Amino acid sequence: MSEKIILLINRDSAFLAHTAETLRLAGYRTHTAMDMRGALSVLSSERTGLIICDKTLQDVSGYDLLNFIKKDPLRDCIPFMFLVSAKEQGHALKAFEMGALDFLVYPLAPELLVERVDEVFETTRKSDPPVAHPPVAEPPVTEPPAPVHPHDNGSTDEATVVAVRRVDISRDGVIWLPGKVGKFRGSTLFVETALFGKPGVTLMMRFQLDDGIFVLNGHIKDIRYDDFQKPAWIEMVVREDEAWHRIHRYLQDNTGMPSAEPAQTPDDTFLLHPGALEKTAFRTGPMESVEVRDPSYDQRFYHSLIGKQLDNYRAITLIGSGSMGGVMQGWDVALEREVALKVISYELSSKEKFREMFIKEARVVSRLNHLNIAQIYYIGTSNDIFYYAMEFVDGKTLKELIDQESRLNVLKGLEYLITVCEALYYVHQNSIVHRDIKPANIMINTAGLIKVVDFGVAKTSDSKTKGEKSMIIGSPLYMSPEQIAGLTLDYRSDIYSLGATFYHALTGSPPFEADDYKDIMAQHIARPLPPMKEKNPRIPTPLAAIIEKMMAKDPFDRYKDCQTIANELKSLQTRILKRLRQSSEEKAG
Amino acid sequence: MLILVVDDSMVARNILKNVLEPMGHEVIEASNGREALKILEKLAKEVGCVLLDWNMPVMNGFETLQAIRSDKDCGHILILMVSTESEDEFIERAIAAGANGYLAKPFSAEELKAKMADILKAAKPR
Amino acid sequence: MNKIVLIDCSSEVTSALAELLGEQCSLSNISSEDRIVPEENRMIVLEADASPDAIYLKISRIRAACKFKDIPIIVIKRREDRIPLEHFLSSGATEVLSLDAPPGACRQILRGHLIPNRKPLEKEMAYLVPFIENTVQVLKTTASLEVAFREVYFSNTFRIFGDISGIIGLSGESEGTVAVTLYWRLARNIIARMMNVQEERINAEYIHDGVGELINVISGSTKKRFKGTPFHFELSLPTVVVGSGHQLGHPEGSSIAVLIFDVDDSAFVLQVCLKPKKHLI
Repeated sequence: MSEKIILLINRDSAFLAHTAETLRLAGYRTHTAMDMRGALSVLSSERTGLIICDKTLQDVSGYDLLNFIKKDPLRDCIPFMFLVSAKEQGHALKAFEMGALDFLVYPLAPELLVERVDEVFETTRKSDPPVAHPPVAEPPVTEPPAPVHPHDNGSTDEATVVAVRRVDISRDGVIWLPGKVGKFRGSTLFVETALFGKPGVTLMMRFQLDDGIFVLNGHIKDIRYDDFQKPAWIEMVVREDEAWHRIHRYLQDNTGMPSAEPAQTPDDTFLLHPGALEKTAFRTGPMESVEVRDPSYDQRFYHSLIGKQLDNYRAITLIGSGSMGGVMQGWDVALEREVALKVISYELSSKEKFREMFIKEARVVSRLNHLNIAQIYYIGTSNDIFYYAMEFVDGKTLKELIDQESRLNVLKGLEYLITVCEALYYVHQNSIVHRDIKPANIMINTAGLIKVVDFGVAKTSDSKTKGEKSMIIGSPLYMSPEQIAGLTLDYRSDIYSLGATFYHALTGSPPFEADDYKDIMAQHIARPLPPMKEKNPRIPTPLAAIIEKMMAKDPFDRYKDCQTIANELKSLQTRILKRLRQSSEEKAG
Repeated sequence: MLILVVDDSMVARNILKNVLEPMGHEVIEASNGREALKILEKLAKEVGCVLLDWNMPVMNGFETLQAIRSDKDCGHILILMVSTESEDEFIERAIAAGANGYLAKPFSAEELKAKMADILKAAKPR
Repeated sequence: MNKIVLIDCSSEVTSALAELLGEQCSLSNISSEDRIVPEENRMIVLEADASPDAIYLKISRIRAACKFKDIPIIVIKRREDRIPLEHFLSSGATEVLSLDAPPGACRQILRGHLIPNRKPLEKEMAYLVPFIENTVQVLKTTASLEVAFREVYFSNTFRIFGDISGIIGLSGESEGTVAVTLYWRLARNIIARMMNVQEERINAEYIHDGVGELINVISGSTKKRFKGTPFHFELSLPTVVVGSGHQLGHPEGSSIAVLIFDVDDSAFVLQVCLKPKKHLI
């Protein structure tokens, strides 16, 4: 129930006492004031349902007070009624223009006054009850007031029902919470959200449409709780800017419930029961049709380890995950340093063969000591969880770099490629094959240093597990033909993958592309390599030739080792730099 | 004394009010700077003290402080900033702009009383 | 030996779990969640056999009974049901596994959840201690409440559990989010004490407003402690959110510290996610 509290303001104390008594007898709690100051004092502590005011007060005019109230977002919805003496009639029209609800002149029969006041409380209960003033003697919150259904009829029947749509709502542009738009009328949107605010509070509303993200700015005009602990309906008035025009068009195009449910009758208000909202929410605009997939079991496994400790290593956050396992930022509590923790996927770690081989290789790799290789510190099992700790590289992967810049500058790419070739040469000298060279496994740290990561651990199978398709590991985009064929691998497979990696880095697209990974694999095996210069004409012919040779289908047609490649690249680099110097000197001269 | 309490939080206003009223002051409220200025347009003479929060929507406390201090009619009004912003540079800025005192949230009722007593004493003509 | 309690689980689910975790865990089965003492268990398992709404309610009641302690609640789904995970997670479940999921995966996931939470690092405590001390101080000063910091754990998602939360976005040299979450009863008690009025006079609106003010004062007074450090931040306006299960965004690669505080027989949490823009370590 809306409180029947009235604020009566008049300069004449006798009139105040008399009129207050009339209203009290009619069942209204009435507070009185003789000036604006007194009125504001009442308003700040009482949940006032109606203001009845004289034309002239002790300090200001009644119009001033009305004007003030109407600009106050906390109180502008309190009905305001003028009750003026016949001698001082003033301008009723002006009062109505300013938002007054009624204009009465006294002397007035008490019954008539009560009748008009009753009408006000009758209509406000049905339409816009003032819900947002500091109430005082509320019932305890454990028994929230009866649900307010203010729009059962009347004032919103012109509002357009839209296909319920999820939006993001924010007060500060930092924290966004979901909401659902149910209706709009003019530039007023009706949104259900768990983000609460008072009338007057400014809000942002973010829509994701096919042609971009649009943010509306506005403020809360009204908020209606059904239950104080559940999401509420907010009536938000938005600024009519460019974004609004776009959204308005969108909303108009998406009116009506998108289903065979009974069409919106005039009293089909936005106060739908939650179930109805849920049902429609999944069937709305094109953006909604994207089904949110549950995370994979692997992902969920890695997540279960966040905030935990494996032996001496604390798992801080999940950085990423691949076919082999999840990588976390970790902390070595014994040595007090950052590490990358790689947790092996449950599928691989449950295979005895894999574990044996993995440990054997990791031992060898852990002995490698090279500036451009992320070192393995430790390999272990804790609670049956198989993991290893390696050097933490703070920086970007080559993949991220390509994603960002679409492709590398030729000189930069050349420099990186030389470094990786030399690092791989060192590794191959130690009889280790990486097996999963790809842009995501080449990192550039914040100091600009290249680090090859995930060394020697990507091997899952040789001929012994051949045929287990699910065991093929690594990205098919960079796999060598012999790897795809499941043959025994040697360092020449790494040369192929490195070639494919830099093919991508320098041209901006991988050597072979297809929707299905099987098609990509087939191309690696049989299809001639598309010439690099077709994709990026700025690539020097000798560089393209080197990469194309690295990617020869037959391992015997590739380079004999990585040092040879590095040497060729270096002499090419010298020639390019020399030519650049000459041409800049010529320009200068 | 008539005190205008300006804070966007209703609870924050009530905390102040519930300490000030038993001290014998009368309290009126505003939920942002613009609202406060509107009230002062009408009641500048009556209001003796303004308690101002810093972070508020529409018009923040510092802007309000500057506006009040540039209004001749409000010359007599004491201003106490009451804010969670309690770094020295905020306090210095407020005092330089004409605040009579600064009270950092959180505060106890006793601290508020003491602060009020301080600024009232300092303002008394000798 | 990890104690795992199964609530009202069928024999199929019970034996499946015994198979997965048998050796290292002691499983007990009880018939109703009413009798559960959550903190006595390392893990709570439910079976989603009733209507989804009944399960959501059950989960949220158990989650509330945990008093913010990080006890994994695992829901075992029937094979055929296709309810999205999110619905269970937002009610308070930690993980939802299905009877037809690969046993190897389930075993690993359950084992992961059974590992005790790690202790905070020194460098993490460096920025958490000011929040802890100020939270205690704020409630002492404004509400005359003695609050005791109980523990901290770390999470990879920023999810809110409880009836009402005050959230504030942080920007500046550090970015992140701080959120205080309470159950309704404690919230009302705290706001009444802050305003120095009887609890009966505190209605929902005061609680909404007061929780916003609470997070504002906690983060505002803590901010001063970071002056001159890479953790310093600026405040935005507080956001108040009702209900449970909301997930908030957070800076990539940051962890969320969940700080639990005890007040008499109830508790509340402060979640802190703060990431300096400059690299620190």
